[in-house]
Amino acid sequence: MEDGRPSWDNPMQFIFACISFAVGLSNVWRFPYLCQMHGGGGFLIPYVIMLVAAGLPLFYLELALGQLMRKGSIGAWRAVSPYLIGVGAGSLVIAFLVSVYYNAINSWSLWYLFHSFENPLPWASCPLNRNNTGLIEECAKSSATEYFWYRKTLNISPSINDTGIIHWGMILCLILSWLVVYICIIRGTESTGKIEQLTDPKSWIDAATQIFYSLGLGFGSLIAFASFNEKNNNCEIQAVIIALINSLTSVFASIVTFAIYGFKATYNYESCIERMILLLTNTFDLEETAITSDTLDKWTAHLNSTAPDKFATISSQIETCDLQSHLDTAAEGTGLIFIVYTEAIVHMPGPSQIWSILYFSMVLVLGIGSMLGNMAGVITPLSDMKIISKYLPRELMIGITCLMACGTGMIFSTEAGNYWFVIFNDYAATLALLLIVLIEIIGVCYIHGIRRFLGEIEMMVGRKPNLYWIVTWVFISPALIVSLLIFYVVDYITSGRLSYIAWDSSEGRSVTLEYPTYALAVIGLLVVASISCIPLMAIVVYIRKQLKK
Amino acid sequence: MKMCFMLLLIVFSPFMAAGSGATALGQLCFKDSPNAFKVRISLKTALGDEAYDWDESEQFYFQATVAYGMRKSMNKPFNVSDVHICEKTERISFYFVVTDPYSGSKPLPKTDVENAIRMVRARFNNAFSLDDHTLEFVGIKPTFSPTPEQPVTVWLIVFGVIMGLIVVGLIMIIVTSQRDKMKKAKSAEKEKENEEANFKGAENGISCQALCESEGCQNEAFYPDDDNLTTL
Repeated sequence: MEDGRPSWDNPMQFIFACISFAVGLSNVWRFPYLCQMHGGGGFLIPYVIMLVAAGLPLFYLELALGQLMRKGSIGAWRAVSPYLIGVGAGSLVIAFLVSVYYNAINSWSLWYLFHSFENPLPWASCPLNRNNTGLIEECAKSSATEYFWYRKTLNISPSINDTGIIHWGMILCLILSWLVVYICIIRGTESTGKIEQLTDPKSWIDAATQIFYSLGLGFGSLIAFASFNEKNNNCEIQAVIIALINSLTSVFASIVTFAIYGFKATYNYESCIERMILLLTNTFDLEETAITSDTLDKWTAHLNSTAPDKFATISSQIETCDLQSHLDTAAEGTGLIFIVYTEAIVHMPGPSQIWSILYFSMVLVLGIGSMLGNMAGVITPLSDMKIISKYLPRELMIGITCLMACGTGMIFSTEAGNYWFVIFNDYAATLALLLIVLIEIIGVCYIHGIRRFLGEIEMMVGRKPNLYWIVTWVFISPALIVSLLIFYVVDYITSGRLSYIAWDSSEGRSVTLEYPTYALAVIGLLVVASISCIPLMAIVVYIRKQLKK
Repeated sequence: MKMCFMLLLIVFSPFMAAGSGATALGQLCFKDSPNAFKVRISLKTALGDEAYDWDESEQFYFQATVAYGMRKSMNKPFNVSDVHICEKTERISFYFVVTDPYSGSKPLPKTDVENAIRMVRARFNNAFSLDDHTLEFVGIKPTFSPTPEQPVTVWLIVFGVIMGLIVVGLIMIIVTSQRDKMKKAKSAEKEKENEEANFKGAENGISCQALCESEGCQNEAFYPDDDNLTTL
């Protein structure tokens, strides 16, 4: 191309880069959780409707914009309208914030991956306490996998106030994951495409948020990827393909996740039954094989009625073993990946090390793929800005960005790190993304002009987008996003003080605490940091224009 | 009358003695005795289909093993008869007390028995093909075998290997990209030199050598006029 912009070797590379960015850990952990919370297969209905009504149109919009303007998010939005530079800047801020905390997940995956080479797996059993008389209390009260996650990996403190010391092993893993990301990025467009190996009311709101977040809208990454396309690339078909693959991967991941849930629930249920049988057999000195899993309930009732006094002594230890309740406990986020899955792996037949290595390699590949997309949303607009590219060679700029993000990410290696991680995860991208995506679509349709945009696409691809795209761009998607935004704001206001889930090491279980004021301030800062770019930059541009006059 | 009474006493005294003997055992070993240990044996859990039947001989074996343990621990000549078993159930659980071989009336304190059992626990388990969980002494905590300490921190080694690979890869990438840049810079310089050479060629007449070296022969007549050269 005349403008010297590097481009993808072939369209498949572009597609794979987008897939690699879109298919990430949210497909594996958040979608199955939402499915379970909102009634299983029924969640697919709002999910598909949101995909068709808002997700796909916005996806195509961002790709078309990037391919048209051949610039990253800041340059692209400047071309749409100079007052909208803030949208690009906001996308950049969001992409940076997400990069900061997302790589913490990769560092945890690396930590688990390295420990998968140990025999036996360190999360297979509880360690002994100091005088070898029993298991460590925290581990005995919870479980070996939870102990390994909360104590050995996170070394978590009881609340967000106790910052504690840094976990050096985690720092090493974080540095390594940033080095891996750095290496992949400086290779440029060639490397991101080659990461191809991928084996994998409230429900409407959740469906929409899931679609947006999962497709990676509003990060500027899609604009960045598309800006390296040939001008006449048919990104319409590609947008549909990528979005479909992303959704299919989510469904596939849910099937796998539900199988793992079932396995774990069955295992826990059978252990519960065995415990109860042993308890009754020992207390009443019955013959060893007298109680079987089928007759447990009958025996319990019989013993309760014939020897109520003796039964009362153990009544506190009696548990009702219910398979359904085990199935109903859903875990999302890091709880799913690092606790539930590792527990299932430990009980799988054969050498658990192999399963563990395979599993964490997959998590790592997914995570790094998404990280590259995030960083593309940061690097591409920065390298498009002439001020920076004049004075800094590309490798150095990328290195500085990675270093800054790595340094900020070190806070996640402190004892309270996981609590800060959850803050970033829940608030850095969610509300701001919605607003940015809304302004994106209004900016293109109403400020740039939908007719102008349609004409430009016709010049690029060869034909005008059909009625479906036009209607969704102009009416349906903006309306949907506005209603989502209203819901979120109302939810924030009415739910009162925000709370988080902390780990109580003395009890060996999670408790709910309220955020202290400074944490709320950080949350506000995260949300405002990206949103404020929009009005700020608009004002700056306006002032500049006035000064020029 | 007194004679009759005395006679009755003499006749009935053996029975009474026997009765008190029985109650004597009952006073030694009973369920809530502070000196009795409860033993629980789970044969089916440990051995499955190969479980043997728990009969009198097995119980005798148990008593003998306890006596063996007491001998080892206290260095007194304990015998099978010093180990008293009571309260047997179908669970295969029972209580036992140990009496001193010299004065067999009072049971020995729990701590002595506990020390003895702990001392020979491994041999005890092996004698019955059981382990700490299937041959339970209620009150004596099983000795946990500590998890084998990793000889070297394995994860650090794997980390070191991967880190080394990444750093090597990084250095190679940076070096090759710098080399490419220098090559480009050189070839850009060469282009400039060639242009100057063409310039010279135009001044001194057609000098094919200079022209042909880099990009093949060019006919001077068709060489497009560069703006830079119009200073001629």
